[in-house]
Amino acid sequence: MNLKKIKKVTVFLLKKISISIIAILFLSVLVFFMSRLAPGDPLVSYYGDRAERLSPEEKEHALERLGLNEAIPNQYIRWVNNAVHGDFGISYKYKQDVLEVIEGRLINTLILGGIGFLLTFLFALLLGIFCAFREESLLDHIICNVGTVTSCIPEFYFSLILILVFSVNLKLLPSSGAYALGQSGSIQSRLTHLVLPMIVVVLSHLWYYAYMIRNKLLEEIRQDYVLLAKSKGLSKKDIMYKHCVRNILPAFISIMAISLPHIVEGTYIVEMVFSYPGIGTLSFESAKYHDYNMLMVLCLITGIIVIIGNNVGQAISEKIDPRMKTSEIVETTEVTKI
Amino acid sequence: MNKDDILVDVQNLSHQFRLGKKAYVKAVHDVSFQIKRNEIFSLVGESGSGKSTVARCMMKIYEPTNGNILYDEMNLCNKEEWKKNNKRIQKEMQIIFQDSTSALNQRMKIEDIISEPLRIQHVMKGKSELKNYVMQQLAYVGLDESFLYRHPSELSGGQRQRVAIARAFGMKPKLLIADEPIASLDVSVQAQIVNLFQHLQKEHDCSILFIAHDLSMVKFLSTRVGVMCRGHLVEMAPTRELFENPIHPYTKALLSSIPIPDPILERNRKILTYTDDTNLHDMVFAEVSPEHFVMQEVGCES
Amino acid sequence: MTQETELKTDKEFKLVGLNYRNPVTFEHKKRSIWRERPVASLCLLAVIVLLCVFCNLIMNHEPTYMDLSNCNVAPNKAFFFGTDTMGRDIFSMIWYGGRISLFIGVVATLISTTIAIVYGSISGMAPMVIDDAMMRFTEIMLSIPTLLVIIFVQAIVGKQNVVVISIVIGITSWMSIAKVVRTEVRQIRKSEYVIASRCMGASFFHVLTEHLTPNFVSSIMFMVVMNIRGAITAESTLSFLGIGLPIEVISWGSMLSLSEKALMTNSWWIILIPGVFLVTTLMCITNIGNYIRREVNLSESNI
Repeated sequence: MNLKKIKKVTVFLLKKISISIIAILFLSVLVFFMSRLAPGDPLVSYYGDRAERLSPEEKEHALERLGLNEAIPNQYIRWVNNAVHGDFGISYKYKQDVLEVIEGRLINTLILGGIGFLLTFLFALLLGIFCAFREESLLDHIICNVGTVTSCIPEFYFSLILILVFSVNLKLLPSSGAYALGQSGSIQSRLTHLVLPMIVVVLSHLWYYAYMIRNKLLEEIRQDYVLLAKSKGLSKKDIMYKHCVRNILPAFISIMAISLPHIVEGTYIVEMVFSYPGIGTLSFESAKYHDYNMLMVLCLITGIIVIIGNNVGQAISEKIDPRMKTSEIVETTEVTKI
Repeated sequence: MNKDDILVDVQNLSHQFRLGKKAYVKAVHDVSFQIKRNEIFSLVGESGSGKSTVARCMMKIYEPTNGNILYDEMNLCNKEEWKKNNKRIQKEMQIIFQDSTSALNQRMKIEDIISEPLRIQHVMKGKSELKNYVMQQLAYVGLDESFLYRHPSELSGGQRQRVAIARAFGMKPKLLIADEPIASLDVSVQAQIVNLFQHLQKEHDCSILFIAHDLSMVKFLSTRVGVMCRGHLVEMAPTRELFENPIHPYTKALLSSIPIPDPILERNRKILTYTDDTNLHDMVFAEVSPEHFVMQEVGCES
Repeated sequence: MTQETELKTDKEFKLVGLNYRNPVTFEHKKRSIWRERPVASLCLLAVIVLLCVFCNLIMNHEPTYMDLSNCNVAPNKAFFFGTDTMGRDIFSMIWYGGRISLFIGVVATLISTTIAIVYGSISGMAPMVIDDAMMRFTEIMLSIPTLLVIIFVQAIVGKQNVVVISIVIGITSWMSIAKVVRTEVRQIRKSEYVIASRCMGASFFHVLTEHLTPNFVSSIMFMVVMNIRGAITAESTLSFLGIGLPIEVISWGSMLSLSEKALMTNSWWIILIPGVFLVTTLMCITNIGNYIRREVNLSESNI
């Protein structure tokens, strides 16, 4: 690797990172100002019902203590200052340091979201290959129709139905929480609580990506090199796994990266319905109760995940297909250089 | 040359394209010529010599980096004059492109394609009047009524090019710029289109800037010819004079490459080559004999 | 005069035997009309839409009337689909609320599509620098989690009614369509008919309506249809979470927002029935969208 290439790569990375940082800053400004402008009283979340009975001086005092009586741009600057030093403030509702509250919940969301994400794409790949093999057969048609139906069901509705069937009627699986009371270490308890939310997260997105993979594979099979391989005597399985799947993998990975925000959103909704103690429920709560500090950090985390996903996906897709590059430089022989 | 005769006066036109950050390509370098009224002026040269760029600069598709283009004594490169007169100029100058497929919108019907410039410039009022006029234009180019409702994809190459010609002539232009209109057609269709040009030019009394690289068509059609080589205009003369008495070595080489439709002469034909060992930047465009201009070294006699 | 020249060339070419004057006839391929069209989906969707629009004719009870004496009644002859926890007749509510759900879906999509087309076209026709900046902005907007944006805007605006929700969903879903429009416009812009049009003196608006839009419409049709589906889903999700329409305004989503209480009483009809209608409508729309996508691809591949 010569110096020029290293330079090119570093410039590329720096560009992407700087754009991402600008995006995150923009996001934080947007969220900050919007949350301050939204009607509703943060004091209520801090003091509960007592907030309404506070006298004006006590209110002033409380606002000053929480730092809410300054002009909004000043508040933002102060927040950024603190944030850079690692202090993200106190959650009004939980009366603890924001990072502490999030820490406890982050792992739950990562388990649900992360494993869900991986399982979705793994099953999507397998299902797509399965359907591509048996194109136009009865099984394929059935799976396609069933898949279309499942992809149309909104996540919250799916969760409701599953709760109705499995928790309320059959009483097989628990319907809320991440683990039974006091059993945070027990793997079995965690697993039983994970089953239903995981089914929802995976199934609601599965068919969308499986269909995409199925179509890509079908396109790939119609290429000329497959005809050549078949005439050479390769078996169907070999062609599929050794050639076609490998060729669509880069596109598949870029789709995975780009669909990250979509799946994150889905996970949040599922968490809400199942009262699963993760970042999703935390976000909705903080939005409802105007818990500003918490909301900022959560938005930042979500935003960072989404931006990273977008950038990675874009970088991969630009690499695979140079036509997608936004800037093109044409090099010809007859060029006068300044 | 009488001043009233001149329709277009291109003076020292230069245009360069930027590639990336620090590189540029000089497509047209200091080209000057005039086009008289009611004449067909041809620009010939090999691919990449800058002919299309000249045409597009004249139509203001590209903003020329240097030079002036005077149309009927209005300077097109001057922003204020352009703004004042652009409506009139857009009516009187029309262009026909090389590739008829991409020059017509596949989703529009032929009727809409031909009537588009008339609608933009609000020339006609009333749908029936417009339709009659469009049918007239179609008849001029030799297509019948049934073509009104078809789409470009249902026509052959020659028919599409004729529709493009009808669209251009519909505005009754004074200057028509034809950018290699016959390059992508087969020989029999080429002959039809060239006949059509001749015929329409006489009927409508307009000037045509005809860009081509087929010298025999150029010989048949044009009044005066200009030869371009790598962005420079190397020779310009009336057609007969150019073909009988070429002076610049590039023109000689170009003319010697035309195949002769006579087996004996063809076997004895010698093809000259042109090596560009002279620096074209040191040359000056001088008048050698009446109306015959050649690019020569400074101070050289013919 | 025209005829003379034509005759002259005619004679010349008849010798060579060329049929350059024969008109080209096209035989339209006879494809079975009913084979691949989503007839079932179209009919079903049409039925649902018609019933919702003309709900006054089939509703047998007043949808907003809360008959507290008949809470949580299972489906029977008087109440075809049963009643919900506040005593409203579900059968009437479905048709009455369907209007609102569909309305929100269509209006939100209209708003987002218009924004996307204009934004994408401007970005596509603009010089490089502006185009880059506009696309970065789109990507930044895309990376903001939409649900949170919707929550915020709702909270700021305060009153939650149908128009506000449509606008909110509309302004958060235009981004992906805008990207596709911009790519297509960039390609189309290089075509010579757009150049010719500008030479003739066309304004930006004229170019947009006559040349750009008909050419990229086919690529975005599929996305627009999917957007309708997304808008209906978004509305129902929001209402379910309590941040969409209030319970007094009836839509399929707000009907489902009462379902958590229904779980405890095991009244399956409150959960199942609105959901079934929701899913059926979404499925029909998806099928139509898939058909459009297939049609577009077929016509471009010369089969």
